Order: sequence, then structure tokens, then C-alpha cells
Amino acid sequence: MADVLVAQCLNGITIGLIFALVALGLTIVLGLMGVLNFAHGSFYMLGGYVTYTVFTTVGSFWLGLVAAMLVSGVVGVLLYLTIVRPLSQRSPLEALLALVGVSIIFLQLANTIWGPDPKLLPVPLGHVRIGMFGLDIHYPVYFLAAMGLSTVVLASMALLLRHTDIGIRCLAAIHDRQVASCMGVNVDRVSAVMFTIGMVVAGLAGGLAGPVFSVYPNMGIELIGMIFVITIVGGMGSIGGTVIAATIIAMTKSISSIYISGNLADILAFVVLLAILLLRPRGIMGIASVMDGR
Amino acid sequence: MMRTLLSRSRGVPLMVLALLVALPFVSGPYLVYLVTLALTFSIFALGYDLLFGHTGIVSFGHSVLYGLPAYAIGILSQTVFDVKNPVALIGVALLAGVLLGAAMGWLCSYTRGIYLAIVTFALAHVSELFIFSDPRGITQGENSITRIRPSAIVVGDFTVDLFSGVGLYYLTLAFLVLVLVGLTLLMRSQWGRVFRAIHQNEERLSSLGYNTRPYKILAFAFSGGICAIAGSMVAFLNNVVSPAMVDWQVGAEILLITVLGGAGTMTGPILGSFVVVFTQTYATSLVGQGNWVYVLGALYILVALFLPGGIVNALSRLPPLYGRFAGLGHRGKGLVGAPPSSRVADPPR
Repeated sequence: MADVLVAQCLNGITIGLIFALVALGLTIVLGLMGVLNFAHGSFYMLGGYVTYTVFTTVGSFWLGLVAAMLVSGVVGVLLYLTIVRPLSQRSPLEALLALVGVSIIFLQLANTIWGPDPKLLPVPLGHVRIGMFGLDIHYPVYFLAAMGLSTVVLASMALLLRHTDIGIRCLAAIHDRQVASCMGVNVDRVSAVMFTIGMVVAGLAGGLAGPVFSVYPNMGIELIGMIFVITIVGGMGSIGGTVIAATIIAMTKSISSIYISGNLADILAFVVLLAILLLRPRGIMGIASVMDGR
Repeated sequence: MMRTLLSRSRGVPLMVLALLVALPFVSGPYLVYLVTLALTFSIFALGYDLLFGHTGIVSFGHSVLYGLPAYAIGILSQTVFDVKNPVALIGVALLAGVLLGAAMGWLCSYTRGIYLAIVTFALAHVSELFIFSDPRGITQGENSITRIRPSAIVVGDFTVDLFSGVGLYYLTLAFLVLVLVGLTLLMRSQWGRVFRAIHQNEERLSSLGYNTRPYKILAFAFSGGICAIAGSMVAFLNNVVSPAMVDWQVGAEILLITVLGGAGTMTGPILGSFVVVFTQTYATSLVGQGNWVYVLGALYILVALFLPGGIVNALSRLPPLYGRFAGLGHRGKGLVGAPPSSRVADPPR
């Protein structure tokens, strides 16, 4: 039993960190531009498919991840220039309308190009035996590698936000866009850079998720709702809060699914998040709450 | 009151109504079905817009107020009880909608803005999972509740079947007119003024001494009642209540329909519904199964980019005759109706 529990905990952490990667771009874009980027899930899906395609043609999963990041970045810049930038300043709801349009077009494109069936990516790197503290688990190394890679990306984003020029400008613009631009922050350029970084990371997350969940057209749209919840519960613009919220939801799901059915585990995860949101109305670590001294 | 209601912009709406009344006499059953569907969506969108465009509350969970009352009908008429009396069924659905709306509003009144939107989203998700989990067989999980057919209404020697085909079409049209008139009267009443004031500046309203919370719960309850009507009409139209009706994407779709048509107006949600239903149908026959999504996606993007304020706003800038058609109400504002600098975060500190 302990073996299962520990394995499920490790699964929960891995999946939670992948969710946190997806939520990362969303939380920054939402805080910075006020736009709920519905198309974010599409980039997660795009990353998954690019990784799959590179893997089947070239044979290297890791090269696939790099390609996924590149493609998502390029498409992300195009999306920012054509739709997000003109609309974000006019009306966040009309931006949402257009981004839903983009995401359903992406969904149908994926259906047309790769077909509706899930594509299985083999788990690279084989298994390792964890045999300490009286445990005996046969655990895939890939999950540990994904965990490590996600942690590195998340930590470097947190460092980037706190210790580099553009990061500090970005945080200032999240606090108050108008005041920041009065103080000489080029909010438009900061937004462009952060939007692109968010897309690159979402593409990476899609690639990383490939061997865990398999790749299918609906993967982004299915996930996007939960990612919104994670973003808000974590607190807009806070990487730490996002990681905590993502890990809570993934751990609740994977641990409770040992004892109860999958549906009930999902309900439980959402009830936990709702409770957090009602207790801390601005999220676990919202920047607004820091400003209010709460 | 009634006279001002009619005289404000009498011409075009009455003409459209006359056309809709005449439609079943000149068209086949398929077009009648499509228009019925568009009419139910119109009711749903109007109910949503009461909260969204008029009160300024963004909800992602309105599928709850649309789907669960429909499930109440399904449970009452198929799985648990065997009630076929249509008045009882619609009454229970309405009651369920109002109560669910009030409960949702109560829970949501603890948060605001985007946080509220996420709470409603989570409620929709939990409700859908609840339907899927099929407690004691009352919702039949992903199998849906099928064969929902209320009995016909018998008045003396006449039997009036209001729940299929042309009968349902007229019933839905009557409900839509009822909702439109009711909504117009509501928005002119004191409650309606408070709703609009909540949209424009909630802080100011509270500092003037209003407790906005009961009003927000009230708006949710009204909205729930209207959406429940739409849900029950769809249940009668398709004879099926499926988990897809509770899926949060339905709630998101109704948000999009409202923005597409023009939020905060009486005509916008109706136009949006008709545009989406007919795009879906005719684009399918034009570009093939599945590919209609491209047309719908492009429509969303183009309207957002080139028609700010939705279709209604674009129409109102046309020459006077058409402009009057869309001249009711005012256009909606940002995500929480606050100034752009704080449109997502909490109101100005």
C-alpha cells in the first residue's frame, strides 16, 4: 500500500508541475494584459503534436521538445501581433471571443492533420527501482526527469521575474499597468516578450505531457478550464502560488483516486480549490493580496 | 408602461415577430426546428445577459442553470417519478432554476470579478461530474435521459400538443416574448436600476448605502429562472437531457453568443443566437462536416477584431431604419465593468 501511495505522490508531483508549466504563461498574461487566453491550451496541444511528429520522423524525443518550444514561440508571436495586441487594450471580452475562435480553429486543424485518435508517445529512459525506506517501487525515470526539468524551468522563471530588468518591469506592469507605463515601462514590449515565453513554456509542457497522457486534439481544451482555476487559486502573477495550486489539485486527484472513483476524485479536487478560493478570495499568493497587506 | 414599451421602437421588432409567427405556415419542419433551437438559445442568452451585460457579472457556469433544471425535468418524468403533466414539469424546472441561481449567487457573492467567474466555472465542472457519477441511477450518467415527452394539453375537446414540432415552436416563441417583455420591465424597475448601477460602479453604490449583495443574488435568481426555461425547451425539443447540457463549454458558448451579438442590449443576445445556430447549420452543408468550426472560429475572430460591441453595435451605426432595430440598451463594458487599469484585478484601491 505504501508503495502505491508513494508512486501516486510522485505521479501527482510530476503532473502538478506540468500543469504549473501550462498555468505559468496564463497567469502572467492574465495579470499583465487582463486577457483570459483561451488559446493557451491550443499551444499545449501544439507542443504535444510537434513533439510527436519530430519523434516519429527523426526519432528523438528530446529534439521534439526543442522543436515544440520553437514552433509554439513562433506561432505565439504571430498570435500576439495579429489578435492579442490589438484587442487586449480595447476589450478583454472581445479578446476572449477571438481567442476562443483561434482555439477551435486549432482544434479542428489538429483533427484534420493528425486525426482524432490519441497518439501514444513511448515513455523514454526506462525504469528505475526505488528501494529505500522499506519501499520497493519500479518507477519510470522519465517522470523524475520531467519533474526535474519542470522545476528548473519554473525556478528560472521565478528568478527571471524577480532579478532581471524585464522581469521587474513585468511585475510592475502586473501591479498597475498605467502607472508602470507612466514610469517608463514599455508595457507593450514586456507583454510581447512575456506572452511569447508563456507560449514556449506551454509548448514544452505539451511535449512533456505526451508520454504521460498521450497526445490528442482535445487535450488542450480539456485542460484549459482546470488551468484557469489553478491560475486564479494560485494568485494572478505568482509563480509560487501557481505551483502550490497545481500540485494541490494534481496530488488530490492522484492520491484520492486510489480510494475513490475517478469522477469523485475530480469532484474532490475542485471542491478543495473552491474552498481555497472562498477562504482566500484573491488566491493563495495573489500579488493584489500582497499589496493589500493581507 | 405598456405603451412606452411598444412605442420606443415599435416598427422593426413587431415586423420580425410577425414574420416569426408566420414562419411555420411557409417553411418545412427542419427550418422550424432550427428556429426553435435559435429561440431557445435566445432565451438562454437573454437570461445570461441579465447577469452579464446588465449587472456586469461574468459567469462561466451558466450551464448549471440551464442543464440542471432540464435534468430536474428528466428525473421527474423518466428516471424517478412518472410525471407527464407539462405545467408541473416546467414549474419544477423554473423553481429549480430560480433556487439554483439564488444558491449560486449566494456562493458567488463572496467573490467578485474574475474570481467569481472561476467559482462559477468550478461549480459547473462539479455539477457535470455529479451528473456523470450517476448517483443511485437518477441521472443515468453518460447514457443521458431519453424519451422525455410531456403529455399534450387537453382543453375540453381540443388536444393541443405544445411539445413537439410547430406547437413547441410557438410555445418557445411565446416564452421568448414573455422573457423580453419581463426583462424590459425588470430593467426599468428599481431593481433593474440597481442591477445597472452594480455594473457601472459597485463601490459607489455601496458607499451610497446600498447593500449590493441581495441584489446580486436576485439577479442570479432571475437569470436562473430564464435559463431554466431555455433548458426545459431544449429538453422537449430533443427529447433528451444529456451531460453535455451541463458541460461548462455550454456556459462559455452562451457568453460568446452574447458578446458576439452585443452584451447589455435586448436584441444582441437574440441576434447572436440566430447567427451561431445558422452558421453552424449552413456552414456544415457548405464546407462539410466538422469544417464548419473554421467558419465559426473565423466569425468570432472577425467580429472581435472589426465589430467592437458586437453585431448590434455595428447595426446601430447603419442608416436610421436599421439602426433603430438595435437602438435598445447600451453596450457592455470590460470583464468586470471597471476601468481598464483594473479590469481583471479588484476595483481601484
